[in-house]
Amino acid sequence: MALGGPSRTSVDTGLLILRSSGLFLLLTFGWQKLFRLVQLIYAGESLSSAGLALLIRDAGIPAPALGYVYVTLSESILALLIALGLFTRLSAACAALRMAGAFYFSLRVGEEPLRAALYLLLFGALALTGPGRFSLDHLRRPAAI
Amino acid sequence: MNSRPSAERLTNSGLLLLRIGSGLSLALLFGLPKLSAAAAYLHTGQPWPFVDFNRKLGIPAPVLIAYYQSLNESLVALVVACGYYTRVAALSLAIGFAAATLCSLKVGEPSWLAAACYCLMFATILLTGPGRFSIDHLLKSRSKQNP
Repeated sequence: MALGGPSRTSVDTGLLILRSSGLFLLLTFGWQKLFRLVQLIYAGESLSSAGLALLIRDAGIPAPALGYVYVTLSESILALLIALGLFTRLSAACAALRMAGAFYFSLRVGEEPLRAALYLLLFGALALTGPGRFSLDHLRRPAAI
Repeated sequence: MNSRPSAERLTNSGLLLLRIGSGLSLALLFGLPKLSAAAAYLHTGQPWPFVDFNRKLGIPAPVLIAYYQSLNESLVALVVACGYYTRVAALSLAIGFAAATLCSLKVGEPSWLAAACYCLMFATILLTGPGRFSIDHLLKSRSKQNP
């Protein structure tokens, strides 16, 4: 490798940067969706009637309210867990699954699928690489990282 | 990277996925169209919107920067996908996409999100290196066997 082989610290820093994609998703989309979900729950409105749930229902996916909660939590709570490096592989796998759904849905309705595809790639890679040492998972189970 | 062989294999698989996904998607979706526009600009003098965009932003040497980024998003992206001179290539792409993110933000284009995602991916590859499933690793192993 032209820059020399990476040290372990360098690899872990790289994985920390990769995990910052979770924070990025949370700040750009996740918190808005979470805020909206909390608003709906406090207002006592049916989650099935939310805009995103209607889109999910129109796509023919069963249990649109559940799907809506899953999408919202994937882009907020799971994204935060990825950024913190807590339950990273599981969180990243769930978030990647959500992004695979978003990618399929974007292609189906003719929307721009690139963003979903890039997040699918980021979270899919994280589900495989794991969080690295600069993570809460490492503090929790040092031997496993 | 990791003491356990299976975990190390997973990490290397993740890096392979990241390299191939980011490199190929970039080259096929953006790089090759830019390269073809660059060739048309060079040979027939056709207008190139990328150069106009650079001029509009006041970027110095707009034509040179347009060629650099076109090569970055095509050939250099393919080099990253193959895992050859990976860290140098990833450095060039990370710089290119950091600049692209700033430029897109400056003009208020929604494409800044995709540029930022690419920037994150190439910054990661710059630091982690390509992993075992790469030409770099193959060449390194061979040079160790035949010093």
